[in-house]
Amino acid sequence: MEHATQPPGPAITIEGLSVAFRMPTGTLTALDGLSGSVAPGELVAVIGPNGCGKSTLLRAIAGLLAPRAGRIGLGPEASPPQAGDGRTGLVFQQPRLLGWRSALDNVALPLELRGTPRAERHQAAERALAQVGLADDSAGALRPRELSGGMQQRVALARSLVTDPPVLLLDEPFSALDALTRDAFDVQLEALWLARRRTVVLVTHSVGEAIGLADRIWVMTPRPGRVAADIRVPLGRPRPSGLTGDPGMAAVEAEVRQALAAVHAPELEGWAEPGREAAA
Amino acid sequence: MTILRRLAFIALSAFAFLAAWKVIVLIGGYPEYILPAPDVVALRAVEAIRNGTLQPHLVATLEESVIGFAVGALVAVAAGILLAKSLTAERVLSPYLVAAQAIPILALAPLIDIWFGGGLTARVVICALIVFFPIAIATMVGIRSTDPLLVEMARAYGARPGQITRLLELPSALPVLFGGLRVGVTLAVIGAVVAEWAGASIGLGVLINIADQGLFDTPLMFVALASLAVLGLTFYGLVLVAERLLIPR
Amino acid sequence: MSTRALPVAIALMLTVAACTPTASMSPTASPELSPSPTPAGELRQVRLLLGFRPDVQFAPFYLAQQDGYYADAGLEVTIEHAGGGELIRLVADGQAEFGVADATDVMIARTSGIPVTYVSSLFQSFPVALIGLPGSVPTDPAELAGMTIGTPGRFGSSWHALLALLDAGGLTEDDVTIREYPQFNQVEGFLAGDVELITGFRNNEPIRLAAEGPDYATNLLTIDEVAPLPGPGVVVGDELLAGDRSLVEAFASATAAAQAAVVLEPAAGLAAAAMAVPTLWEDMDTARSVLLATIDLWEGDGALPMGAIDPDLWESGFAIMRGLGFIDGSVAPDEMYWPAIRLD
Repeated sequence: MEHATQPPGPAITIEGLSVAFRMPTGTLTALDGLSGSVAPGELVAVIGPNGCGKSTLLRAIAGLLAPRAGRIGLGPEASPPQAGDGRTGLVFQQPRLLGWRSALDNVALPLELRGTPRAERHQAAERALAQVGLADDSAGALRPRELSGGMQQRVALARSLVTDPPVLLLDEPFSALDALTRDAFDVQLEALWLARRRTVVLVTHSVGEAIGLADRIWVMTPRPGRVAADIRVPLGRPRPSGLTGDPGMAAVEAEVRQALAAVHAPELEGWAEPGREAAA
Repeated sequence: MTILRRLAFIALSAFAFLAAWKVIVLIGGYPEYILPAPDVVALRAVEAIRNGTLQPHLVATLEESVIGFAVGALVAVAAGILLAKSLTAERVLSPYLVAAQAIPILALAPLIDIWFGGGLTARVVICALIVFFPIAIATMVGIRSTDPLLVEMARAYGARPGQITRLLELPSALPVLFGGLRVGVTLAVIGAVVAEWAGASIGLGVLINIADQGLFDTPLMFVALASLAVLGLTFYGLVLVAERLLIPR
Repeated sequence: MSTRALPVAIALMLTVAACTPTASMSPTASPELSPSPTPAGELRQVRLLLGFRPDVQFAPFYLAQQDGYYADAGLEVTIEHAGGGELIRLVADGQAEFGVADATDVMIARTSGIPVTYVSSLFQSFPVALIGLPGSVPTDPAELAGMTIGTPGRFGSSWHALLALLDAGGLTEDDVTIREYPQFNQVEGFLAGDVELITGFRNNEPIRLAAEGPDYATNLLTIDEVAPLPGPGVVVGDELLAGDRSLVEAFASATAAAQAAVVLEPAAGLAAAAMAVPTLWEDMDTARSVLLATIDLWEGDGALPMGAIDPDLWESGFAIMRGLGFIDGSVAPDEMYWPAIRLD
């Protein structure tokens, strides 16, 4: 198991982060005073229903958004993130590949944007594709529309790895895929991460996925978001997919669900009370 | 369809068209000076080429339309990018562009010809003006329709505005842009003729006038018209080829 | 997919080609040729095509139509306008009974086999001349070398006259610079200073230019002494001429009578023109001057009655046109005209 040489100190520091958007109807505060930190090589899952601001949090860490208040720091020197500085790689829910380019050229894009010469960036792209199991030449030459949804997402993942970033940010990366592929990819993702330990922040709305992958789970409050609960997942690795039956897992799951219910009661409440119909 | 079958199909429908034309002339009993039959026009074309009448006019119109298209298209793409990116630019400029487009250039062409002192420059300007609008609009629409999800992805990996235009917006706009180029390139031929009608001494538009009003040679006029059609078709075909090459499928 | 569109494109373009510019492709059956006089009280409907646009110079036709000259001849005349090439074709094909065209155009058309015949002269003096500022206009055609000349285009009597003038001075079009104004707006080029001389009708352009101001008084170089050509006149299609000669004669006489009336009383001609030419009212003074100058040209030197055709003038004009290469001489001059106004 190879560890990326991790410097001492947290990989990600977030202090009192507030992010707001100006909308035609007024100001929308997505995050308000969110704080937390992620240790180097840790995998943190951020969970909560839609609208709680978890995607916004990810984009803030990626350097795509400027905070209204508070700060984010990357690395031991805790410097603010800059989009494209190569310290983070972002994977979206959709592959977001350029349809007119080959898979290889898509993967090489981040290096191209930084001015890396062609030969060098193609080599890096080949290595990144190998990491996601697409080392075969023919896949690299194909256009996105010639690839299945799962393969496209693997290409997107390779793209996020091509600059060898210390921090990987995943925004529900597999939620657009079918459940079976998703489970398989979760296993592969864990293996990938175990082979070379980057710091990972994974946004998800699946409790199972969070428990299957994360060292810690942050449960978010509704908007404006902050971390309501920071739950450790003390289970061993690698975690077989499913994990059902493991009593440790049931305990963590119960804890997570309870935390979710506590903050998201109105949205996650049941639709019908069992027994009422019968009584009436 | 294979290439061979496609060519056969084209040849067959062209032949059918010419046959129908001949039949119309026969049935209607049209004299040659009103509606010449296709074989008469063909013979006249051979004669015109043999004694060198057609070539200088053909080359002149070719020159005007190619340069006019190039100039008009370049300016139009630049304008389209500007209009796509700047809401202010669009708000300020669109009314003038649309109004200018609505004014028939045929009416303005003589004035433009005088302003630019006649000559090739004036004709290129007139041709470029005719070509401008559809290409500019196509560029604007194409760039505006860039997938914002892709733009966000590119920004996440550090793309600067110039890179976004070059690597993202322009390639993704190519299909729509080429739609505008197809229209523009056929308008370039019309533009060259309109420009010639404003005051040129050589060109297919001039040949039409000479044949029609000077020589009363209707077959020759049809030769000029057919030459314009061939020119337009050739340009259109070239744009299709360019489209195949530049837009990876 | 896209190449399937190609034959459609070919078809469309050639269809458009087939529809330009000779108007009304519908094959009208030859006009009913009734050699006998129309029944009493019933007027024969005929179509007269005058040039590009309404003009005070067409006053005789307007007067004849409005004051009953045509009606007295048993004709109900509808006046329309058409450009030179279209006009000759429509008259030849019988889609219009009468038209006004340049004699030199008739020479070219007949040589090309278009069945149109010149039947009466409108002008006894050739109207086209070279016009310019005093001091710019040479008296000797040879001095035209190196000058810039504006003209509508390489067609029509202006072009023929210009080349005839140059030829008389031993020059060709390569010895001068020609600027073309296909919209017939060579006056604008002249005012803009782009050309030194323009071709025009000497009863028209010089007067309009003079109206622009005293700076635009002009001199003329005329062709009458240098290269005599016959001027514009009435044309008819061969089929009508063969089938109903008396109709042609009736029209020509009525027109000549109206022309004489305008000469006697220009105000009447002016009034008739004002009804037909929408913009006349804007400058009645200029219109009157143009009409008076036009009357001079109609009368010429007075040797022939109005409307009469001068065979000698046609012979000399024919020789000039042949010498310039506009016609090959395969059709003789006397096959090109038929005098509807007798000289006896």
